[in-house]
Amino acid sequence: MINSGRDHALKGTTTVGVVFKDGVVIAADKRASAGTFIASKMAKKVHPITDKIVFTISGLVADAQVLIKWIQNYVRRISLERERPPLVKEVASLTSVLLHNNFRSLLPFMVHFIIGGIDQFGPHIYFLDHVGSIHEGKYMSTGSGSPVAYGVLESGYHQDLDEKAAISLALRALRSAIKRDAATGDGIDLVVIKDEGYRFFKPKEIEEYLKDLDKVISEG
Amino acid sequence: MFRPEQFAGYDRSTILFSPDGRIIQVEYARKAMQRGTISIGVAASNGVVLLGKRKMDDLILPNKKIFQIDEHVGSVFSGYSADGRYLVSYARERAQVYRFIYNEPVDIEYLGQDIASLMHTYTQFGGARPFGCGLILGGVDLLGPKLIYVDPGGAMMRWVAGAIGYNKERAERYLRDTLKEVDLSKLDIRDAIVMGLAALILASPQDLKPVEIELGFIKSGEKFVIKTADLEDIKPLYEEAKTKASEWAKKAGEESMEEGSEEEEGMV
Repeated sequence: MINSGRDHALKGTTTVGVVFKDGVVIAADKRASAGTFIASKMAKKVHPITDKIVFTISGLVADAQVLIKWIQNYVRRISLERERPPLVKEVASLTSVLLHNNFRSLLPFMVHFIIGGIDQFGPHIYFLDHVGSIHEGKYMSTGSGSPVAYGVLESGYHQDLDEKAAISLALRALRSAIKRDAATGDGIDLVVIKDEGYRFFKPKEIEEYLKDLDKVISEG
Repeated sequence: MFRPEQFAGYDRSTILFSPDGRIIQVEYARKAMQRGTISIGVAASNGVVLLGKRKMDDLILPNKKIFQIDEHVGSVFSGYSADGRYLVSYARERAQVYRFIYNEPVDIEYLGQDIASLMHTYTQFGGARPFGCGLILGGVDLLGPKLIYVDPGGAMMRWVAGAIGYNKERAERYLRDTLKEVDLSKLDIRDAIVMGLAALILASPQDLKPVEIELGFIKSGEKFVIKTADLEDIKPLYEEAKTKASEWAKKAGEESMEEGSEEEEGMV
């Protein structure tokens, strides 16, 4: 069952998260696949939980969407009761408990998450798998295209990335996955989270970045 | 039946309001709290201190008064010790459940609200008896130092400083007078301890021994610790508090505490 969960979670999608000095970049493709059939070309894989914490989903879409609703629910309630927004670490821990409870009792949620956000302790990225394990990292990727994306991230990441460099690294990783993974494609969602909150980039802005990337690639 | 006639039976249950809108059983519960030995809390800018008078005499060894809830929170209560201990164990459990789910120490105000909800349910159902004690929580969380009071009726309040239990009026008079002359945003934990000790000394009979005073405090960034006033490091603060207390008593023209107390068996 553990393996079937992993297989499901790796069947489509590429999502990427990168930490930079004062924020987090999150990027995901928009293709939802069912075997070789493309079920959607405009799937929403980046889900804000608070104005400073964002989830990406990959795996079984229904599972992921339901779990996102649960978490939004919990987080809204707990934020009201405590009169402070949650830490990224707290949301990761909560998600892990929900995932693991279901893994132990019912069927596991067949989803992998990246949780990216910023709190009073700085920017953070967590990866959560379908059984509930938590890994913190400076850059993370999920989905079937993640091996391709990781190749780019591994070679391109360094400690003192600024916002622009982090964005182009995330986009470069995602673009490689789009080109080499059949279940990844149909455009890119890009979000940057900084102290003032998250911001979805408009398609035009993303195109600008991609133009620059093309130059880099052709010149290189 | 032995009860004040003017309540005409409205004090017999928590599910009945009296015609003037009171739940008289809850007021009795508050009275039970005020018969317990005194508990005091003071919030500083860089920490919180809790103090309490321990129950002891020739036959009773000094009993615990301050209870640790988690690494960063402590509590002290006045009233029925059996009721208070139940609240302490409930609070400890809730603090750990929070850690399990969120991987983070519990928010103190949130914990207070949780305990308040429990106490509130005991004022709403027939056959239930309200808790005969009030609880003070003190600790430091992500939002800073917090001092929280939970009432037997299930209300929760944030305090700068305060007291519950026997003779709390006198302690609160002292705290009010002293806090008037203090800049709260600069109040150091050491001064808060002295202030609390002085309030406790003022509210106690003259033959109070340092060993009867238990105090728990937490400094920002450190863990909650519990000590008694006869310890080496607290003794100087105790002596300082003693002089401050007598100075205040002279200035206020108040006699020192009279002997004899109304504290009762089973009350802490």
